[in-house]
Amino acid sequence: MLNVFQQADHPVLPRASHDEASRQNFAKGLRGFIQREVLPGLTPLFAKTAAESQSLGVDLASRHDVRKAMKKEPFFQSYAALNRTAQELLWLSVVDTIERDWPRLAAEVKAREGQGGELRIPEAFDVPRYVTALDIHCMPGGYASRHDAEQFAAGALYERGVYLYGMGYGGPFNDGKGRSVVNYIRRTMPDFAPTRVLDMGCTVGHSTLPYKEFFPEAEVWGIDVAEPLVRYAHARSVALGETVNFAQMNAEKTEFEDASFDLVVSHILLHETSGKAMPRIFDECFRLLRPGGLMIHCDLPPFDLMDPFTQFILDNETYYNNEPFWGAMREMDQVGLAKNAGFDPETIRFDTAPMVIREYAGADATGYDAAKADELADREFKAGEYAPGGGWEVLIARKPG
Amino acid sequence: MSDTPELPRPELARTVRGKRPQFFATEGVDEVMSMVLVLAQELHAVRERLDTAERVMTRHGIDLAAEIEALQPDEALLRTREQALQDFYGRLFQFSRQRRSELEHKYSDRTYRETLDKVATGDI
Repeated sequence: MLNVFQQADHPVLPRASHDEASRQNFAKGLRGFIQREVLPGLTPLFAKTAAESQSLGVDLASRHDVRKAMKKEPFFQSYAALNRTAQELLWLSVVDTIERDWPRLAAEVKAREGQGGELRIPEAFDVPRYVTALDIHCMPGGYASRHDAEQFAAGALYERGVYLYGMGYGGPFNDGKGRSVVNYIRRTMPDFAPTRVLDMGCTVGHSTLPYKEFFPEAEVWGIDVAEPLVRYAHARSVALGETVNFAQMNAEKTEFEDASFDLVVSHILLHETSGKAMPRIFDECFRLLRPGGLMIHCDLPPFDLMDPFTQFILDNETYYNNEPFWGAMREMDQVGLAKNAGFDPETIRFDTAPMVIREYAGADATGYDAAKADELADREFKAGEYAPGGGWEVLIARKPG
Repeated sequence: MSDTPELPRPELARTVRGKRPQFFATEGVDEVMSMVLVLAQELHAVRERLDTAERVMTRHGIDLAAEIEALQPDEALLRTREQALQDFYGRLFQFSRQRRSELEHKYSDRTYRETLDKVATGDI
């Protein structure tokens, strides 16, 4: 598949020069190439490595055993180094654009202050250590970077960088996860009409905006621990014509009142928290929900049903992409956490929210044609690729009511 | 936007908090891979810029791509280009040029150290 997916332009998107755009596209294309042409070699390499270990009486029983053996293999070294370098090229190619495009970008963000929904940024705020200890997914400066006085650059970097990272699979507005969950709700619970929605760990609001689009009467909030992200998210939502509220808050302990939301969601948030924070987040979701309200987390499925090789491939992010909780999160008993928080045990389940890439094919979005969308949506997911074939994994629980 | 006072441009982070793993057993190979990929990225950007230049020229009535294909180099141009190509090989394979010279002249770490000693305390 020739991937020519293009991100939809909007006033606060960093605008690349000709050569910057080429460098960014190089990074996006390189990721696709590695997945398509290099990654498949790891399967036979593992078969050989496992057989050699077996002949020495060593069973590669866990993902850690597999890593120890595979790390010595030159082909794996090349794969992992290529992946890491592609990630570095990706972010830096966007940093160049933001620095050059700064006066325009800063003015566009500033021009949207006071418009659209509320933007709530407290005077003082403690960004949790699990977000600042490493620059997650090797994004230079991290989410809560203090490198710009205007405090939005990390948002702009995430907006463009994550589109490239996802190779456009999330659609021209990179809102695929939010749309998938909304579609899932509408399909499985057609009568559910939330009046107040909270998106935890919203970053720049990629997944938040679809909730407003599909539940236009609802008051929608996005919260994140990083100031630059929520400021950018607010400007971005105004630029895209949606009235959504954003606030710098910690999902472990928000400032919202008890029983004030019908729906609390998150998208790829939990794996960037910690073992200590996750139970607190589940408890907080329970506190915030009205009786009968829904909690939906769209994140990584647990390791328990996967073979050690698949686990090992997925866990590369932990070791090589500054994702400290990626592997450990998959070992958490998420159903147990939801039960402990008080959710109705009968309602707690994992399910799949189908990818919505087909929806973009009809839209006025460059590169998104029906054939490519079908190919992506129907493919068999292979560990190590970005984005599942069938859909996103969601954990759902309902507050008794 | 033009009357908005220009804000100071930030110097954004270009390094990452957290130790970068070493993937290859041989020290330095990771660094070389990074450099090679940056060069490949730049080559791609330059190639794409040339493609863009051809397309812009087409818009202005000059079929640059076709003219490039149609250009028949005369002998003088052939010579100029061949010289440039050979010079490029020389730069590209500088390392092997140096190694061959060392073989031919029997340069070694030992002879290098001997030179140090001679210069410091010897009769040269």
